Amino acid sequence: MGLRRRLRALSASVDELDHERLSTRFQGLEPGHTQLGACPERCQVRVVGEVTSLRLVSRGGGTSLEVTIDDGTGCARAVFSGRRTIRGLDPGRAVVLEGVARRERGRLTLVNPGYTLLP
Amino acid sequence: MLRRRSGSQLWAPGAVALRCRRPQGHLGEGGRLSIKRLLVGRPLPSSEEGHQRLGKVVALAVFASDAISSTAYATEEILLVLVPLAAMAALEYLVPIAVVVVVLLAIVIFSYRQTIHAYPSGGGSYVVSRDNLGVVPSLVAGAALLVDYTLTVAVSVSAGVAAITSALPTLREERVALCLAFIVVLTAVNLRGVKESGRLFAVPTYVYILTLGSLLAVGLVRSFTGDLAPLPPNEASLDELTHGGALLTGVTAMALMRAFSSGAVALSGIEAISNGVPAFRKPESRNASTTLVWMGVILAAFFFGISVLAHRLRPTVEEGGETLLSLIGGAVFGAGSPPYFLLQAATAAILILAANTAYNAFPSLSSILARDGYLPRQLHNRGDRLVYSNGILLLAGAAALLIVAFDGITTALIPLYAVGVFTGFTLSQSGMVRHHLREREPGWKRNTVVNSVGAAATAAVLAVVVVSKFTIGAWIPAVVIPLIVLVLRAIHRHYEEVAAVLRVPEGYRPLPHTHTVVVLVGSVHQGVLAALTYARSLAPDRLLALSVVTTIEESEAITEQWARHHIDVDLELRYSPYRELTSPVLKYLDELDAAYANDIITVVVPEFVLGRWWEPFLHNQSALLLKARLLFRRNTVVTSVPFHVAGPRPESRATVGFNEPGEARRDEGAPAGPSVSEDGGRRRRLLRRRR
Repeated sequence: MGLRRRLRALSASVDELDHERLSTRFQGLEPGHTQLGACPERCQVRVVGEVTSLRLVSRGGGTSLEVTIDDGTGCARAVFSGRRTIRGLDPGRAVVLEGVARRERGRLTLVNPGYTLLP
Repeated sequence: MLRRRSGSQLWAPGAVALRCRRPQGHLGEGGRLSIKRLLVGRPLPSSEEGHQRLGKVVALAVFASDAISSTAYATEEILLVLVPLAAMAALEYLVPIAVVVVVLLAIVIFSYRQTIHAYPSGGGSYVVSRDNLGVVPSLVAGAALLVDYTLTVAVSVSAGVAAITSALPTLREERVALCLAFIVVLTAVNLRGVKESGRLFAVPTYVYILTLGSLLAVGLVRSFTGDLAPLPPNEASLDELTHGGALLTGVTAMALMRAFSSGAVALSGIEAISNGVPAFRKPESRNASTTLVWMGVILAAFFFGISVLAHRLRPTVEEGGETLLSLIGGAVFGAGSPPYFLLQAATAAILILAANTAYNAFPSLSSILARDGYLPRQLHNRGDRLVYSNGILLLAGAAALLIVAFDGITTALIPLYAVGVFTGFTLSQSGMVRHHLREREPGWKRNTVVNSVGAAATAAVLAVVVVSKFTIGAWIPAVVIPLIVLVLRAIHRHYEEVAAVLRVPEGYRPLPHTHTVVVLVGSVHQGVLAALTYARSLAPDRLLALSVVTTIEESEAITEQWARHHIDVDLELRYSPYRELTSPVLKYLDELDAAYANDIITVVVPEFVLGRWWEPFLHNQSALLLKARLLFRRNTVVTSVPFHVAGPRPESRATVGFNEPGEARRDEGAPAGPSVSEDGGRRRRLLRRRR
């Protein structure tokens, strides 16, 4: 480990460390996936990332689960309508999402995407 | 990849809801013995303020002890300047210098009578120069007086301790400790309030007046009838002072000026009465003016008398040794006789109490400065006992520092002294001249002449003091006073800037904004439910619960609880891979800020109120840190919803699920804690039994 890198490890904030960790985790992991930072809109995409937050939304009886994933280059939100929990889709878990991405309030959103849990 | 592991190794996110505090106020204080109460006395209501007034006899003791007590060291300080240059021949200059000082005293007294009548609400140099001369002169006067009052305490206390060590030479090495002890006592007495301290101080002042009066009477009569011969010169200490005659250059004009300015310290303290006019009984001005004249007569008689007696008896002064007054007292009454000890005790007492004059004047001056926005506002607050407690404490601290720095030696402090007081005199008298010229009240021509003479005389003395003593200490106030003026102006500028920012312009309306409420949740328990109910009552545009989770179990447990209790609030679970609490929350708030313009965020923290002092140590305080961080965030309101763990609790409407806080992360895969009906019921029974 070079000196520069060690110095960086000392000075970097937890946020930066996390970005670095996620980037290395997903680099070259799944051939053919799109980086979230450069994700095109309104077409079929295949993205990977780590679950960073879950949101239980309940509005007038209808519930939905919003899952945010991050791959170090950006983040995206998956909305699963009618679900409260999805077994295995837990914080810290890596997943592959397949669906159509679009921007909603500036955030990349995939509605009811297909998902694959990674080991 | 995150593995499943036991939550107990990890940071405890359940602590979000565990910012603990102990009940205060009605539970904590009532009926407990308070040390402060013992030292300072019971608190006084504001309505008793008017009762803290002084009659003339007590006021003379309170306000004049400074001026009168300076007779105990002023003569000696004159000799300490001249003796090294002229040996015993210095005594020949003593009486002429005393005459000049007495004339100066008369001028200042007459000038100050005008001030008292023109400013019945307390006309210190600061007030007079603020009203007549403008901001900068008034600040110079204020700063000068603040410095001088501090020196009054230091000089008087150290001179008082010198009187004690003259009678009891074994204590000479303990003088700094003694000085500090006296400052502590004075501070405590003054925190109790002016009237009580006034009564306490009347006795020593009058004992001093009587014993010194009889010393002078007996001494002068015996000396002039030939009953009392001059003292034999003390060759050893004379040698020490003159360095074996090496410095005997004769008395120069500069030396005379320096000696005179040492004698002029006798005038310090005169302005105390004019500052304190409102503390007199009605009619304030006339009472204060009469007291001022009494003080002047006593001061002049004593100062002149001691100088004449010293000239007759020819005692040899020593620096840091036995005081002049002690030498004279020993010669007249006989060393070791009861009247001698009474004289020393009274001298020490009045000197210690002279410091009390400054304890009255300094806090009232600092409160006026604070009210005008030149000193921190806290100095204008009256404490429990209707005194300006903060000013008293500030004075005590500064004087203690001076005494330690100068090793408790009066002579070392004297050159610093008098600069401030004569600055104050000069500005005050000049201000009065302007006052008369503007007001043209009846007799204004005569008054103008009186104050002009006063201003000219005190300005001349100020010049003499600064020039003759600049190198031996007068430079310190000459540097410190302008510095204080700069600080005062900086404080004022700050207050003005704040006021300008806060000022409401004509037609100003705050921008409307939306409202997001974020409730921090660790795990679901009664405190959290109370916080959620409270948050809903705020009727926000967006309401959501935020939980920072570090393990899958936590996330599952809280999701499950959310469903079980049918909580109709959006729940956001934030994964914290580094087990931090603060930064995920801050990051989340930043995202909210970015998403909604013109939005104000209220962060609601459920908070336990625990019963006993050790209980908070059993709970995680990380939410406290979070609260501290959020306090300074823009557009963010932080609020705590207290939940009293001890004491009566409102019965809930229905038996709903209830989990122990932090239960979610305690054991892996365990079923949720005991149901409420069981657990809560047991607790309530226990509480009832305890009561």
